[in-house]
Amino acid sequence: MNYYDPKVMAGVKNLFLKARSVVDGAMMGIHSSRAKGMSAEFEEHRGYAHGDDPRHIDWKAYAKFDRYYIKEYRETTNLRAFIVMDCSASMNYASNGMSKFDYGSTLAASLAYLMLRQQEAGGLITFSNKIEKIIAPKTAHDHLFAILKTLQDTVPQGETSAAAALQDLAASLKKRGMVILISDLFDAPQRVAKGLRQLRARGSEVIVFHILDPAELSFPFKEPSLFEDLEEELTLMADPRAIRSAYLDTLRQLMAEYRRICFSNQIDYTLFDTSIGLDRALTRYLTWRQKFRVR
Amino acid sequence: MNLTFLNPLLLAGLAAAMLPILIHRITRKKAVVRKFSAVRLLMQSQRVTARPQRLKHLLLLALRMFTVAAIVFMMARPVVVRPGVAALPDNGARVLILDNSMSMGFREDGGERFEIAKKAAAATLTGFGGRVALIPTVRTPESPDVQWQTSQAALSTLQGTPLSFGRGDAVSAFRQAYQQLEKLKVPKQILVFSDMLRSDWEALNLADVGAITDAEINLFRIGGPGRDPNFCTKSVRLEEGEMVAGVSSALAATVSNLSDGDATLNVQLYLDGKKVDQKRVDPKSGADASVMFDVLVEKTGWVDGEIRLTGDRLAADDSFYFPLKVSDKVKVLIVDGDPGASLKESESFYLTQALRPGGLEGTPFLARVVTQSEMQRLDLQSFDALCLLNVARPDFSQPAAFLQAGRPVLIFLGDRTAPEGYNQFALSPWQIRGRIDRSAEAEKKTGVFHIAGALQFPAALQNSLKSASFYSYYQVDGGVKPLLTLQDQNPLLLAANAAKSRLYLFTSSADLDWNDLPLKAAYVPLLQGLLKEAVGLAGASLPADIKWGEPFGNGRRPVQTKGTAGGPGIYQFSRSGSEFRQGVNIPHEESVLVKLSAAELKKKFGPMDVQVVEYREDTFGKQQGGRRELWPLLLGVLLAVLAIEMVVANGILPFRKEAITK
Repeated sequence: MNYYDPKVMAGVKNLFLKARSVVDGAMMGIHSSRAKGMSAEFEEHRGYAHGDDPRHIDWKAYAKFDRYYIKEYRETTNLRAFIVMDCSASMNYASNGMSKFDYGSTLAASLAYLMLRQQEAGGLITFSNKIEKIIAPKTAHDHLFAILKTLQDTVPQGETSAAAALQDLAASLKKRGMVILISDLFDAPQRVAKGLRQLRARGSEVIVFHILDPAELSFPFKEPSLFEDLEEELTLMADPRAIRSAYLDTLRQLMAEYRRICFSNQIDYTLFDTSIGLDRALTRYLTWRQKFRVR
Repeated sequence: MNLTFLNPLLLAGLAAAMLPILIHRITRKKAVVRKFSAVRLLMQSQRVTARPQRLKHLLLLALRMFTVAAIVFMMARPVVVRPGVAALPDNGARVLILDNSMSMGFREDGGERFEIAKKAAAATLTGFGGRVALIPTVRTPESPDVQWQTSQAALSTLQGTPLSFGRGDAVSAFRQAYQQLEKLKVPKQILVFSDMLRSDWEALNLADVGAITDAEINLFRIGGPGRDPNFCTKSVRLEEGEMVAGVSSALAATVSNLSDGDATLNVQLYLDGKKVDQKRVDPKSGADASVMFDVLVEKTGWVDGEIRLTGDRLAADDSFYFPLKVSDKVKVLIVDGDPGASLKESESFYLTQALRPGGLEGTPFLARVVTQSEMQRLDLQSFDALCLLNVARPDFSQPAAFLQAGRPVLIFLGDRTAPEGYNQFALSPWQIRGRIDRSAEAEKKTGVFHIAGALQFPAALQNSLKSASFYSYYQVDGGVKPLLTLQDQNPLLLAANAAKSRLYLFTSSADLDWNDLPLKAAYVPLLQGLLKEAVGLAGASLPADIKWGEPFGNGRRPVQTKGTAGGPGIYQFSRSGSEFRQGVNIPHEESVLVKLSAAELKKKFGPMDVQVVEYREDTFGKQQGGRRELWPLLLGVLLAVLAIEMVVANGILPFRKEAITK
């Protein structure tokens, strides 16, 4: 049995177990990861200069070389990360047993687990057309369970308005940090872009996890259908075979637009297909990030 | 072109063409209700695709409706009926006039015109269920009576109709056709298959044959409207009268170039089936040319002659047949009333020399000279002609019997003749009067003033005859028109019917005593011609040939000795207990392959609706019309429509997009 298969994962009710298994699986895939190096570490010695804090003088080096050396460390301040989770009604869509919200929740839980295991402060913001709930970033161990409980208790509903949530978040952020947006992004790209740009302007690093259902990506329907929208009072009578091509084109354009916006704002953009195992998706993302974003 | 259906009741099923609309309505109500997260995107897409999709749906609907309609249509078995030029309902009556005249034997590249015509006529019978009558333009006693037949029977009659050797009689054919059709109350049609030769069709006049205005007339011309090249022998004649055994005769053949260009012809002479001579001649376009053959036959009796031409496409008129009757030499008894001590001084010398100018060879005459007393001891039955030369007082009982036997007598006067003795001859229609003697006054001598046309004297020698001088001659009275007249209006030569033959009187002497005629070039031909005419060797040099199809005459039962069986050739029959032969040849007019134009043909039919169709074997099927079932075509269209429907419905089109993958 593949425990990372979203179908199998959907049967696992405990989000903590889900998060842990996903993170374990992901960490096994990146043996040479430098993620553990996020804590404070010695960097180098340099000669003492006037004005340096005497507390940083390495007395052992003075004893050995009879000169003052200052010990320098890499900055090891805790990362403040917000996981911004879309909990609009559209996230409730599931064609293969696991909804986009479940998939996103597992992803969010995995990220929170990963952060807290590395002593980083992770918080959670859920939003639909407004910010629903905020859990401020903390490094406390039991903080993970607060995040997990919030995710488990959240029922996706309402319309998507990632732009509003991001703008609100940007306005409330007082310190640089990381913002991880998990959403299906069925919103106006330019408005979302505005929120993302504001976050970047505040110095935050932004990561966008675009979650889509395989049925949204392939539109496999054949019978004439009356499509009812999950968020709004919209219905459409259509022959799927007739509009499939145009729909896929529109979706491609939407995704391309988000890619372009993210690229131009130095934002990581990753598409997650809910039919693909989360560990693999996460591994792929972490590998990519490590390769291109190592500082 | 008409569209009909074999199962028209099934067309009610066309209502089923509405099925796609019904199915569309039904399936629309049964659409699946589906929750979806990106309906707004779908609506956006729908806006983009709405117009093409609507078109697509309409196209699909139309294709499906067409498919159902096409299936119903196929089951109703549609048939396209092309009327064509020979179309006629199955209850109609069709008369086929088939030109079987000799000219239809012309060989086209595709075969003989007559066979092409029969094939075309047969094609019009295929599938026709009405009644048919077949009328050939040349009918023979063996031809079957014209009657209505089924198509099958008419086809059999058609195949058995032979090509004829004579002229087509379009008038008679149309008259029979009208007689067949006039009482019928059904659709009527007359189809003519002919080369429309001017000689055959010129005489057609609707006023003569009547007109059926409700009959459709279609003329199918076989062989095109232009003149076809052809050569033929127009006539053959002997230039010097009948043939005599052992004597060569000049035989003139007149050949015609009936083509648009000059030609070189090879003219061959056959006697009794053996080729005896051949000559080349170059007649101009449309002109005749004469070819002379020197013919020598040793034995008496009938000889079958044939002139053969080669080099054209109409074989039937390439041979011209003529019988030659070869007679024995003419035995002439000359009674010399003034025999001299020497031959030259005799009255008969010049006449004898004139009848055998080159000796016995080459002359048709055998002359025997006797005195008056010797004649009385002779049996005159063995002679063909009797000449009395300066006989003083002849015993006319023998000449009278001679004339009664049908043989001619020629009398030449002279210084010893006693007119009163001659005037007592009961068979003589004239009276000999006084003698005119101008020998003492040379300046008053007279010549021939007039030559009667009946004498048929060669024109080239007439001056020679007129230059002769006559010093003495007898005046003659009687109501007989002279053959030769002197300048003083006295007759020189008279001829009259006497008993069963002819009696001739020459009013001057046969030697040089009273005239210098024996010294003139005209003397020999004059006397030979006179004798030939007297014994019947001159005049019609050959039995007049009759044209194929003309009757031989009552009671004649000819036997063909030469030529195509039942056609042109030489026929032998008995007449008055003796054998007689006659040549039968193609009518010359039938060899002139000039056609009537379409306009001329239409003009002959006046206001009637007549179509003139230039027959071509490769396009006749279309011209003929016919019926064709459409279901194979519809099936093909249906399959094509289904294929298009599949492509359109299933989106097997270039704009199909694959699912989005990472």
